[in-house]
This record gives sequence, structure tokens and C-alpha cells, in this order.
Amino acid sequence: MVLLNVNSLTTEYRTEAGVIRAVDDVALSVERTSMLGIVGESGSGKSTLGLSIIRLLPPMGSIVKGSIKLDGKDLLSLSEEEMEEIRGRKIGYIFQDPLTSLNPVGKIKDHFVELITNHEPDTPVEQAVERTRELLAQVGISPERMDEYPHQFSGGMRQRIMIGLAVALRPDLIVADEPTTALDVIVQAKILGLLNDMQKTYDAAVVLITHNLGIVLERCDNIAVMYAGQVVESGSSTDIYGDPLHPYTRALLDTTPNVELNEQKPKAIPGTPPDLLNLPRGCRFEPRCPVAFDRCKSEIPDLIRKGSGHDVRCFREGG
Amino acid sequence: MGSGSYIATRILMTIPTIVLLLTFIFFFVRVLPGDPVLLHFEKQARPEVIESLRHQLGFDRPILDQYLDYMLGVIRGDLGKSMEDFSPVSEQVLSAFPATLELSIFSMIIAVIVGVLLGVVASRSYNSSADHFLRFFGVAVYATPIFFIGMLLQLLFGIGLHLFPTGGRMYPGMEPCGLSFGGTTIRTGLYTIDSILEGNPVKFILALEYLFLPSVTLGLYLSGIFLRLTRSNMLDTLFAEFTIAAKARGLKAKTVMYSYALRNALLPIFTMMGLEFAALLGGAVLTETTFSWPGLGRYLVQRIAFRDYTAIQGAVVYFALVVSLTSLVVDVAYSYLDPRIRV
Amino acid sequence: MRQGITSRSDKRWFPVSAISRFVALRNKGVAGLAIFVGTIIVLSISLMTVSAPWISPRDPSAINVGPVLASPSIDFPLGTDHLGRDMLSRVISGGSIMLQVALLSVPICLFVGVPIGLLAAYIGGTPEKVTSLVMDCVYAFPGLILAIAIAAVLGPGVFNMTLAIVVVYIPSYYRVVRSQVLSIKELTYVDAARAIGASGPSIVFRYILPSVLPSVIAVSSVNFADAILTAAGLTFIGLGLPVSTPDWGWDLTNGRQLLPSGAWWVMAFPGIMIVLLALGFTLVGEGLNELLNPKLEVQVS
Repeated sequence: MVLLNVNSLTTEYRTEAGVIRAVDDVALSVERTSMLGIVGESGSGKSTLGLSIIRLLPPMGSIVKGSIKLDGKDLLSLSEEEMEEIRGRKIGYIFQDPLTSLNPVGKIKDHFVELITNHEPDTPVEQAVERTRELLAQVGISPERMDEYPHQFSGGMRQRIMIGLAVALRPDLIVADEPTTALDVIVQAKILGLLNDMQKTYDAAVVLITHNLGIVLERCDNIAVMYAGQVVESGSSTDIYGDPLHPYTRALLDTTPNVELNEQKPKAIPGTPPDLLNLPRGCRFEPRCPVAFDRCKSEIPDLIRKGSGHDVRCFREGG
Repeated sequence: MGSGSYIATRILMTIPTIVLLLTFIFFFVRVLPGDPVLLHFEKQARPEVIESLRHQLGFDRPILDQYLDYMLGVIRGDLGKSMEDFSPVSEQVLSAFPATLELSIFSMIIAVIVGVLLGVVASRSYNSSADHFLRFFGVAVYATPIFFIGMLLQLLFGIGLHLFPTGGRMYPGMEPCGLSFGGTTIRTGLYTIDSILEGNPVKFILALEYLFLPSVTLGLYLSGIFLRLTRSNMLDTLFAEFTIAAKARGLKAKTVMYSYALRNALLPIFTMMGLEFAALLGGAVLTETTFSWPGLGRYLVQRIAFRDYTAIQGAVVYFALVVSLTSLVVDVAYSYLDPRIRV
Repeated sequence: MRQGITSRSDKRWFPVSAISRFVALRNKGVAGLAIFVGTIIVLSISLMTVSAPWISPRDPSAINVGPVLASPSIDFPLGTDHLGRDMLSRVISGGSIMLQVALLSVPICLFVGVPIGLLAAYIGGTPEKVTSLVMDCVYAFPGLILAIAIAAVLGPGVFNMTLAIVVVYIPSYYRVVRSQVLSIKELTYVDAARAIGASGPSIVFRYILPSVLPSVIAVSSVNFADAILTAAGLTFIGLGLPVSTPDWGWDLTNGRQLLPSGAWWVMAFPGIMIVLLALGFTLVGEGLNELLNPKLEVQVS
């Protein structure tokens, strides 16, 4: 059953230097209780995509086209007050930098109680505090610490608190924007594990946004690969891992460190992502593509279906 | 480190600063070409007169002795004797200070309210014409000499519209006497408070009337700084991660505005209030002169006209002490507002 | 490959290209406009003051060239003061002292404050702590009161006013330079410079100084504005210059006495000129500040 359905989504930023189309005609869908991973380099538009879903773009950004349907209802048609209902309650959001995502002058307890009473104003405070205790225990923070302030916790613990806040109202969807990028590798694994646990506990769907293909292959049911604002390949993780069709996906897989292989030379994809103010006329990956040919320089391939649920945007595959 | 030790450290740190300032002032007055006593006399006075004054004020003693006397004197509360009539400078300073204090408090209140309000408005309409206008206002107000603002207000409200008095602190004879019971009197020297203590609403209204133009003048002048700072801080906090994260949790817009953006933006403003107190005192000097307000600033200016160097020294010392103590109080209070410092 | 943002290499004669880039500033948003307008104001006023002997209609110090306290008219567009002097001429010539004080004090502050800041921050240790303590004390003290005290002790005169302003302002330069150096000192590129054998002073000048420059320039423009306002303030207190030199501050102070009789023009016009001049410098400073520390930047990822 499809929970989230994004279609033809286009988001732009107006800057002094021109208009940047950060998300270009993107479509994806998320099944209930499944995990979708969105992978891409910085500049690929993945974070903008996340912010577009909850409609929290900065002032110079706006969604110019498309629809975002949560349970059939198009979020783009809602008023700001209605969106406030959705945020936190139906969609939980986790941000990248735990060090700056919590109110520096608020106790941890207050963060939770404020959240609960905001959405359910009739809740008595003691009940909210009880729920806080529960949540903190669930995410692995000792409830006795709830009167402390964010700066007294480490990055990993703060991210746990953020996860706790995201699931507090039992959302249907959790969007995690690079939740582990600011953390060290060992903590990363723990946090991702926690995310998985919460997903199961609350029967929620998760959209995991990251640049780390390894994480996504390991934990996600489905994957969408983004490049320069477009989805270039999407499908189940088995499909992506076993049969990567897009040259970019293949390159990403190549450069993902793999313990099982013996060669340890770090690899990188040659070249750099395109300047979004100055996009090439044809396929955006063409300058770095090992198998590009003439047509790639002048036309942009369409996204086509190559197998059940496996889409790719490449002329080599008939796009 | 708990609150206690932070406060203790902070107090300890103030002492060297005060000592340094006092030493600075001491040598400063004596670094003059010639000597303070000589310069005091405009025309050539008879040598015996000069010597006598020099001796009476202790300027003929070795410099180290003078310094020790001076420092010990400050601790005892003795700021020397006026060159004009040998009356204790500390008495004069203490009787003039409450007027400056009252003016400063009201001006600061006006500056903060006007500045913060306009700053919040400006930040919420970022880059609109309202924003530009407000920023220009903040800049223009600071570029205008305080006394010019004062004079314009006097012209408009005092002489033109006859709404407010243009000089002085109180209608002659109506000075509040505070609260008397038994044999003691409680008088703060602040006319607004004293008139309340006395239970006399007429004096209270009068005090406010006289206070109005000077404090609006000084307050407007400083509001520019608070406007700029509030706007800048709000722009930071309105788009800070924790604010966006709060919105992402569906918190109502008003909650986000006050508990997240404003609350965090106002923290540095509090410190700024302490820093600006120094600028306030400087501005008070000019304002008091413009409005003939009988405070410490006007006292200083009068003593300068009389070339009363010991009184000048005493007044400057008092200013230094007030500034140091205020900054200490502000820092300590701030540590209660920002848990990051305390815990 | 970016285009349109970096300028093509400009082969024109340097002053021409500098001027055209300056004029283009007014299109670069509010900050650029502020710098543009501010500079025009300052240059116009300076030009007017410098050419005063030639363009002033009458001798600004000559008394009784017109009726006493005449309100603005065609003969005397800005009226006359209580000595019958022409206000228009006084306004045209009155900026000289303030400009002198400003133009003297800022370079002195720069040449003293910046090197001390650089040295102290670079050397570190006890000398730095001591210097910082002294600077902080002066900085925390009310600037105007300090200036008043210094001017009171030294007496009237352009040099003494300048000295007062310099003493009050040096700590600002010191602090700004020091904090910049401290943050840059630890950056990798300084280490890299050391690694290729650059010596101490050379590191300071070629690597650290250029990064410090923008903030210093911003402080300088505020310094200019403050110097003017302080000079006006000192004159108001009575610590200004001898009566003969035409000076806006002096007229403003005098004008105060004349307010009750309704002769507003004596204080209004010089006052407006002071505001304009200070505003000009402040606009440049604010504009520079905005350009160097822009607020909302787009982060696309």
C-alpha cells in the first residue's frame, strides 16, 4: 500500500545569480512500513527533496510544480495551519546536524512536553512527562537526564533525542536527512539500528536521505539514486545492487568500500557535479560518463521502466 | 563548574580591571604639561596661593604616597576634595548620580523596547522596503549627534507644542521627599520611585514629564544599536537549524517565534545592554547638558569649565566603578539566562 | 565552468576600471547602494569644504554682512546668526575642522592599532594577555567620557581632539585584528606557509593581513563617523576650537541659545550637515559590513 506518492516535483531557488532548479521533475513512492533510501552527492537535490515534502523550504525556495500525496491527500494543496498538523504528527523529520537541531535553552523534557501539548492540547502535563520517559527509554537515553540541556549530551545522544521527538506522536512516515553524516562510524551504526527499531515499533515508513550508498544498500527496501536534481535510477535494493543500470549507479557501487574485496585503493568518480546555474543541454551525467555517446550531449533521456519497479534514465538502456 | 564558582571567578576578574582603570585615571590627570594645580588658575596667581592649594590638596607629596592615598581613599569612599571649595567630591558625586541613574534606566528601557520591537519587525519582513527603511532609521539615528536629537525634540515638543518642559528635572519645590517614618527617611534619589513612596501622584506625573524628553532623546539614539542587533540575531535564529527543526515538528508558528527564534536572539542583546551602558553614560553627559539635567554628566562638564581637576578625577573614577560593576552584574545575570554558561 | 560572476580581465587603465566598478556597485543590492550613496555624500561634502574659499558667497566669519537673526530668504538662503553672519557661507566652510579631525585620527589609529593587534595576537603569551587587558579596560570605558577627559586635560585644538579620539578608538582596531588573527592563525594555510619556509613577519604580512583587512576597513568607516560625532560632542561641551573658525559643531552649540527666540535655522542647517557627513561614512561602513558578512546564503544539497 502506497503511503507517499511524489509526482513531477520541481523545486527552485531564486538567487542573485539566477534560478537554481534543485529538484527537477522527480517522482517516487514509498510503501507503508517500508524504507526508501535516496542517494546522491551534495548538490543532487536530495535534501531539498526532503524539505519539499514537509514544505519547509527557505524563503528563496519554492515548489513550482508537482504533487506530494500522503495517504491520497496532496500536501501541496494544504494551508499552512493544516501543514502544521501534518508535521510532527503524520511525518516525523530528523535533521543532519544534531548539535544545532535542539533548542539550546530548553531542557530535554521541555522539548517533548512542548511537542505533545502542541499537537494534543488536552493532554495533562504529567501524562506528557510519562510519555517522555517512555520515549527516552526507547531511544536509549536515561530518563533521569530529562532535566538536562542539549549541550550536555554528545552528538550521538542528541540524535537519539531527535529520533525520539520524531516518533513521539506515532507518525506514519519518518524522513531522515543525513541522520548519521555528522557522527562517527560506530555511532552511525547504532543510530541506524535505532531508526530500524523505531520503524518496527511504530509501523512507520522511512525515507532515508544520504550520500552513503553502503548504508542504503544494507538497510533499505527500495532505493532512488539522484543526480543534479533528477532521479537517474530507482528500484528495490536487490535490483540496484544486483543489476545497476545507470553508469552513475555503477560508479557509486564501484567506489563504495567493500570489506569483502581485497583491493583497498580508494576510488572516486572523476570529474565534479554540474553547476546548477549552468546545466548542460543534454544528459547531466554525460561529462563524467564512461559510456556516453553523441546523443547524450544534446538530449536528456527520459525515465523508463526496465523491470518490475526498476526505472532508469539512460539512453544506453533505451531512455 | 556550577553557578557559584562562575560568579566567584567573575568577581575576581573585575578587581584587576578596576585597579588598572583607577591607576590609569590617576596618572592621566598628572600627565598634564605642568601640573593640575597650576592649570587650575587661569591667570597668573600669586605663587603663595598656588603653593598653598598644592599643599592642601597633597600635590606636593611624593607620587607614590599620593597614589596610595588615592587608592585607599577610593576603597573608603573618599574621592578627594574639590579645588574650588574643598568640599568632598564624593558627596557631590553621590548627590548628582541618582539623576543620571534615573535617566539611564528610562533611556535604556525606551532603547530596548523600541529597538527590539523594530528589529523583530525588520527581520520578519526581510529585504522588504519596510526592512530597508527600518535599517536606515537605525543607522540615521546613530549618525545624529545626541544633542541635535535633543534640540529637535525640545523645539518640537517643548517650544512648538508646549507639551513638555525643556529643561531641569523637576518643578522647583516639588522634589519628592520619599517615605518618612519613625526617625528615618527612605529616599532613593530617583524621583519617580520617591514620589511613589511618598504617595504623591502629582509629583510622580511631574517627574515623568520632565523625564520624558531627555530619556526619549537618549533612548532613541541607542535604539538604533538594539534594532540592528535584534534584526541580525533574529535573522540568524529565524533560519537556524533548531528553529526549522521546531517547525518540522509542527509546533505552532507563534511558539516557534517566541520560544525558539526570539528567546535565543535576545540572549546576546542582554549582554549588549551591559556593554551599551557605557555608551549610555557617555550619551548621558551630552543629554544632561542639553536638558540642564542635574546629573553626574552635567557635573563633570561644569567641573571641566571650572578646571577643577580633582573633581574631574573623582567623577571619572566614579564612572569607572559604575561601569565595572554594571558589567559584572550583567554577566552574572546572563549566566542565569543561558544554561550553557552555567552548567 | 562558471561565467558571468567573475569579471573578464580588465585591460582598461586602472582608475577608469575602478570608477566603473564603483558605479556598478549601486546595482549590487542594498549594500552596494549604501556604499555608493555614502561615498558620494562624503566626496561631495569634502569637495565642498575644500573649495569653500572659492565657492562661499561671503566671508563666513565676517559679522554684520546682513541683518541679525534674519530667517532664510533669497539674499540669505540659510538665514543669518546672532552676529549677522551668513549661514550659507558658514555651512559651506564649516566642515573643515571635523574632516581634519576625522582624516587625521583614522590613519593614526590604523597605523598604531592594527600592528599592535597583529603582533600581540601572533606572539601570544603574557604580552598578549597584558595588552588585551589594557585594551579591554579602555574599550569598556565610556568612549565619550574618556574623550572628554582627555580633551579637558589637554585643552582645545585639532590635535588634541584627534588624540582623544585615537586613544578611544585604538582598542576597537586591536580587538578586531586580534580576533581575526587568532582564528586564522590556526588555519591550515598558515601552517602550509610555514612549511614552505616563510618567515614570521612575512607570514603576518602576506597571509594574515589580507584576511584581516576587510574587517579593519569596516571598523575604519565607523571610526570616521564616530570621530565626527565626537568632535561635535566635544565642541558642544565647550572643548572645541576657538570661536573664529567656522565650524558646524560650534554653530550647533550656539544655535541652542537662540532656540527660545525661534531662530531655528542657526542650529538646523549645521546639524543636518553633521548628520549627512556622519551618515555618509556610516552607510559606507554598513554596506561594507553587509558585503563582507552576508546573511542568508543559499545552501543547495
